Amino acid sequence: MSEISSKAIDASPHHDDPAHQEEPDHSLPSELRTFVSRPGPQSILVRGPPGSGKTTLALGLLGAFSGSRILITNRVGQAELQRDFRWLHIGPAGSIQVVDAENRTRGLAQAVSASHALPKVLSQAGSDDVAGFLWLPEPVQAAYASIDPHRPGMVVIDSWDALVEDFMASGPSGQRGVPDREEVERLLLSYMRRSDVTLVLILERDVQSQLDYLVNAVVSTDRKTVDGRLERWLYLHKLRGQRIETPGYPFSLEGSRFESVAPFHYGSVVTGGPRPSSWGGEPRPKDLAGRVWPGCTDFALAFGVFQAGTTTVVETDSEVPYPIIQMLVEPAAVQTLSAGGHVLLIPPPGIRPLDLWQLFRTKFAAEKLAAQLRIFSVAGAEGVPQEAQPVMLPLPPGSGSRTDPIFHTAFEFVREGGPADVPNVIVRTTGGERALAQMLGLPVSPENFATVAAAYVANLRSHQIVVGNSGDPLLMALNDLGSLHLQLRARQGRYFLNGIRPFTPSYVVIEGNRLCPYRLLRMV
Amino acid sequence: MAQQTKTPGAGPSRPSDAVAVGVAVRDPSVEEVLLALLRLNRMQVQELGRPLHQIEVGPPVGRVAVVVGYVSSAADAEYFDGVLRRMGDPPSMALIHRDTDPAVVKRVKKRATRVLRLPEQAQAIADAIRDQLAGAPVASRRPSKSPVPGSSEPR
Repeated sequence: MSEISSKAIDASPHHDDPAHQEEPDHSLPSELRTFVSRPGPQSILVRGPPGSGKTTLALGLLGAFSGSRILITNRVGQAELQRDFRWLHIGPAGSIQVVDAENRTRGLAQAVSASHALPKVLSQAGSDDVAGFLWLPEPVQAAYASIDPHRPGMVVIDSWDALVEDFMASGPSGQRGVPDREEVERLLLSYMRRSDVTLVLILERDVQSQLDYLVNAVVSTDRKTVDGRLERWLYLHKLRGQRIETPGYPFSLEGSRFESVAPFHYGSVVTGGPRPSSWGGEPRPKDLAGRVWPGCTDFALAFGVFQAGTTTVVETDSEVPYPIIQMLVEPAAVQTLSAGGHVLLIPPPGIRPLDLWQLFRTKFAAEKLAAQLRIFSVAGAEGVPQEAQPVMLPLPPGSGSRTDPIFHTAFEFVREGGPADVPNVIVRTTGGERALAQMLGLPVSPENFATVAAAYVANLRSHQIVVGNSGDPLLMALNDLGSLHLQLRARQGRYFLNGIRPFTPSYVVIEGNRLCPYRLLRMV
Repeated sequence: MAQQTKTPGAGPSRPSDAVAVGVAVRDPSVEEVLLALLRLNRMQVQELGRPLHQIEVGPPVGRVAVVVGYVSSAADAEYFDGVLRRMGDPPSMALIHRDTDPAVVKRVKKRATRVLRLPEQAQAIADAIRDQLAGAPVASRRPSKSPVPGSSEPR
């Protein structure tokens, strides 16, 4: 596998790529986007352990909000915000008002003194309103004053824990007439509800409190390590008045942005439905001698490009449907066919060869496919139209017959290849080979599977991708052979891809664009 | 002490409305009440260095529209007077507690542009400050007139 840097790849990263710019902003879960777009007042509680992405989520909410926006922060200074979250437009040309709560000096003790001083200033009538307001931390008062009552607004308090605990610390809480934290929280919500305001409260721990019952929405963020790789998840616990379709969303903080991942609708992308005819893989870098461009920049940046004469092992769990695997390998096959190389596919038994042929037929002439593509499957060539017949490697009639001629044909097809400088691509599945071997009465063992795998790439003009379930002995037999070992896992409708060898972070497969059917979002 | 509200550049606010209000109050608790009252009435307050506060968001301004003082004793009156002198005698509004010595009241009424007897309803105080902000000429005191007893006494 060859390392490749972003500078070495002609194709630009997503955010500068016009094809990517056409994509709608799905950074926030759709349920949350809809919720915050509803008329206020609304209140959202965001809770989670430190470092789990709460601040970036809250900034994402601010960024997506179109009314007036106020951020009360005692965790991240304005300079840091400007530096780390440029997309948020905090600064001279910005539109987000930042209330820096770090150097506050006023606490509950001062509020108690002020409440005692109330009669010196205010007559009894109408003083309750001011009296209640006194119990709010000063940054909250400042934000309240900044709200235009005639315009929708959003106020984010990051973090409410730190703010209220600091406020309460000066005591004397618990005395008669002095509110406790819960009462301060009731007052906060009560005052903020006077305007069309969406209040976002960040709590630095993921524990339930009375706020869970008082607010309109509760979400939490979590950060965990799976096999040494970071995963972040956002959970939607409550969105009052809004149906929660998907309670859990993995998300990334790549580029200091909150980007959540919706369930992958592979059905509409790969197995029929509207499928852009222009998918052909992103443009290949110019100098690719002896290497196979994987077709998508994201893949190349994550794992490098495929090297001729080597094998890539892709282990999947049983919940990963083949169309996802097909989607990942298709761009490399398309690139190879475009460049004149040969492609050999051995799909699992449940996949119809005709369907695969039709996928490629949307991009290439039947004659080109007849010359450069072969599909080897137990399904054989039955019901296949005439123009697709040359692509299919037909099995001899009846079972139990020797198959040397068929395998020989496959080997010869790969060996011939295309132009000398264009490697071929072989995509094998352990399921497909087992089915073939069973039908043909051939023995299949890890040893001979590895031998065949080695033979396929022995001429150094091919790159082989072998796909199988985790723990499959056939796949494990390739441990010494696989120069790149990938793992593809299904989790709640999302697909996580990572390198086992070499070790890489997790990437989530997300929907692509007209150039590539998928994108990889790095979990950071 | 007032919270500093940082608003870089043009924001959702109305920079053109930005004015500074001096708060000449010796008692921090009363100052706390006044600032809360202003904020509750959607008037933003920025600390510009005691006893100066800026009301409404915007770049810090150099002019003072009004100085608001609280007077309940001779010491308060002295402090109020000192602040006015230091700031070049801008328009002013004195909030005078009802138990204040009449001699002190008399002295303050001569000094302030407008006086308000306390305690008063919160809304009335906020409205009076708002009126003063809206109408007061900057840094020039109007000639004294005899104050009218009551809650709001323009001079």
